[in-house]
Amino acid sequence: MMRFHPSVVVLILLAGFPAAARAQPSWRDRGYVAIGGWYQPVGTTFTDEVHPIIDVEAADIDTEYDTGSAGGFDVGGGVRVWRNLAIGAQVSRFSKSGSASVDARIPHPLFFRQPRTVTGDAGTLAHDETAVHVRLLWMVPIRERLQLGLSGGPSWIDVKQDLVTTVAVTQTYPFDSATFASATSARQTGSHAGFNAAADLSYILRPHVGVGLEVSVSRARVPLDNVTVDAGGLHVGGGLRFRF
Amino acid sequence: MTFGRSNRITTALAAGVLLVAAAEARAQRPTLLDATRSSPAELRGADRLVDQLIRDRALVATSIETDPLVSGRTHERFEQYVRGLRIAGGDITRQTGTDGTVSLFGLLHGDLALSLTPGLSRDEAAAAIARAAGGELLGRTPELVVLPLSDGYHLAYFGQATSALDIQNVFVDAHTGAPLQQFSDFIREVGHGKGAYGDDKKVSARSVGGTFVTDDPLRPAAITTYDMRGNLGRLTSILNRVTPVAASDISADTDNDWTDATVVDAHVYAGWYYDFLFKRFARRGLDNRDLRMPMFTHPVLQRDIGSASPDVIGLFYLNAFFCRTCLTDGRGAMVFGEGAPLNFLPGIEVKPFSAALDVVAHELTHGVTANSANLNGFPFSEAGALNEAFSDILGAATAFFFQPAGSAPLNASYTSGRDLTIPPGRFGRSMADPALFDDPDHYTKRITGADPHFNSTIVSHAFFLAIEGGTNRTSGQTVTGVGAANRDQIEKAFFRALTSLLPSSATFALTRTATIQAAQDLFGAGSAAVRAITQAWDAVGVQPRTTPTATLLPNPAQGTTQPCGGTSPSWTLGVTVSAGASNLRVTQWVAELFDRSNRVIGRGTLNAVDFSTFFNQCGPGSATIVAQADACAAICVGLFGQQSGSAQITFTALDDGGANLTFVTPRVPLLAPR
Repeated sequence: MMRFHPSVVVLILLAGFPAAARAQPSWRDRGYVAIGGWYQPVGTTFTDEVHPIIDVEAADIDTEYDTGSAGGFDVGGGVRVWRNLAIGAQVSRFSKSGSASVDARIPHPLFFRQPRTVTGDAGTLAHDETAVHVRLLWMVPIRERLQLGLSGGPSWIDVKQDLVTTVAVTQTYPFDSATFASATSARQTGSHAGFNAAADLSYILRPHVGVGLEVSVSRARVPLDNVTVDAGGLHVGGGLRFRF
Repeated sequence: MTFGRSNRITTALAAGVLLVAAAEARAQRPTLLDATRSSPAELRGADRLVDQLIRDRALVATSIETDPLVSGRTHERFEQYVRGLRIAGGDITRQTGTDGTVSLFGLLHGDLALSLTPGLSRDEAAAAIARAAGGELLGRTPELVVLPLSDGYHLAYFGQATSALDIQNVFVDAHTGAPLQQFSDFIREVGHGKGAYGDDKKVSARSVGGTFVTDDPLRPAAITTYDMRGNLGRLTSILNRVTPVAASDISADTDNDWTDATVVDAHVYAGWYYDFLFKRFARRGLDNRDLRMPMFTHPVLQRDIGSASPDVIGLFYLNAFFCRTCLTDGRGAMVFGEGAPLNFLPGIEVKPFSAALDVVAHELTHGVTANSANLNGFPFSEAGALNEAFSDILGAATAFFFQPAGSAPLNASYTSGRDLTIPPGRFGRSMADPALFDDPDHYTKRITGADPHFNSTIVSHAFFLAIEGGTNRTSGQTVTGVGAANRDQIEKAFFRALTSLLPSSATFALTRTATIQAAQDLFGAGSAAVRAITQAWDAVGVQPRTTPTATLLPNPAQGTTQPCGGTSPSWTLGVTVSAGASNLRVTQWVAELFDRSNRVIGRGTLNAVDFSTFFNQCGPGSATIVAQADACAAICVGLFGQQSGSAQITFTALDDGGANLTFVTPRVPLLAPR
């Protein structure tokens, strides 16, 4: 699981702003629009534990989820409000089917306190994230056509996650052992506020159109029913950049 | 057509009042169909009505099966329809034999004053069913049915829908879509119940039409627990093969959270016993072919104990039993007494006899015995005692398999039936120390011709010693047991002897040989199990019977002031003569009486005819004793008014080779009366 401390990002931004502002001319566009795609090299992992009642006894099902690396797209824009400072927003989304490994203790159908351990793969479980990032952006014109946008701000991330709710096993009399057969999952949804920070390097090809590369990070701890998911992550991406 | 008020179809028929039947059609109540050959007129009337309903297509056959247990019997099952719509749960059964109908069971519903035009389309109903189950409709489109509920008849749509791992049967109102009834379709259902000691147990019950019954669907054998609800007459009729058991006799519970501890214990412990046989001995049930295991509870009601006869109290309150040939298939049944409230026996509360795992296992072991060694010869023979001994042995073994060792309730111990009473152990037999309950721990203390439970402790004590080790109190011989961790070795040896090696006429001595042989088969000639079992039999005095012996019990004997032969005090003694490897022909026996100074004060010499006259307590009176057999007598002696002394009997007999053999009882002290 990746962890970014917000203060680290803020320090990076603060370190960059004054120097760049002093060295470069001011930014004169009225605003910007960015459309692109991104890649998240490190996925989110988390563990969930549920205790469904099976044969009148609580089972113990531990599931380890890993969304894996993922790709997504984003679109955003903003307007310059003062000198090189703009305020904007970006919407980012991705949908990924990740794997989950199940480690469960399933009650014996005939006896209390004689669980059977089964392990297996829950199969593909959907993980969707939709994030809205509010950004305060400081544009740093590095050269005539090269601009560095440093931004940060609050985020609101919505997560839809398939979580394992119970498992089915194959078993025969005397039921002292069982093997994993399948897992049943249910879609859960949650949202929570977080933060984002990004650095975007744009090259303006024509008066209003360019291309850009962006490295961003976002994070929100999104609570689901009985587990909290670290949403967001480190994104590396690029796309079209528009100035107006 | 319906016959509602009486709820007994043939009552209405017998009354011959069809006008009453027609008038009561408006009542819209189901009529119980419960007709057997115990009431021939009732059965004939019901049978005619069923035939008429079949012709009217109000009953439609859904299955016809040949009875696998009773030759010539056929079982039909019918569904009821009203104006073309099926009545949910309205099936009836008819059993027929070569000589006509045997039984009819079910509920009959009349022509109902109910609109059969639904308000919802099938698509709307499908959506309502899926919604009710929280899943998706399964299979075919919903079926429009008539659903009888406790508040009357409803026009409903029925369908199945998936829900998580479950399949739900759903009935929704055909006009509103509101759920009316919903239950799982999983035949295997595990319920929960509490035993007599408040312990939680998993109840393997079957779901039948939304109700749960104690018919175990998880184990290969049919384990069914019946609740006779105190109807002793019906139970007796069932046990005596007059009346077959009915589905309505099976214990039922609406929510699968069982509260009848007697039923819970009987059903769960029967299942555990099956598991024990399977896991420990790889045996499939009582006959190794998954013979069904019918368990009967509540033969009487505890509140009626005050008015019950001593026979009923002795059998159906304060006892449990296995019946080898009970039920219509003649394959046996187990019945568990109801127990007794506190102070019916002074200071004692007697639990229902299903409350103790070892007792349930004991009774079921009789089923194993009946299907293997069949130790059911002359009741008071050694085979009878062996039968009881093996039941105690496997009862304890079952308890140790599932319960922790200890002295508290629900702990395994070597005291049979300890959990039956509060305070515990008042009905017990101790395998560890039989003398605690005045039972014999040594072969010389057996009373031939006594209750087989009495002599059984000699064998079960040997079993205990072979596992736990220890010193026999009578012989003083010490046994090195295999240890509790290896108890399975001794259990397997004894079980193998019972189920594979012993004949029905087995003796203690033959059982010694068989158990040792079994241990050799399983663990090798020099194994710890062989050593322990051999030592254990030595310790309890059971040896191969090669030479004749004679015993005189009790030893010492306590005198009474009751006169015997005109003299007082007197002593009652049991005498047992045991043949060895040869047949014996007793020619003479001499009883000698001694005073406190060991001077002979009386001597009686008797002949073969006298022997035949006296020794008829454990077999036919005869001067001939077959090899390995016993002859026994009860005699009383007096010391011509003296208060104490001793007695001894010397026997003379010819063996098969014509040799003249003499053998003597121990000299038994005769103690003064208290």
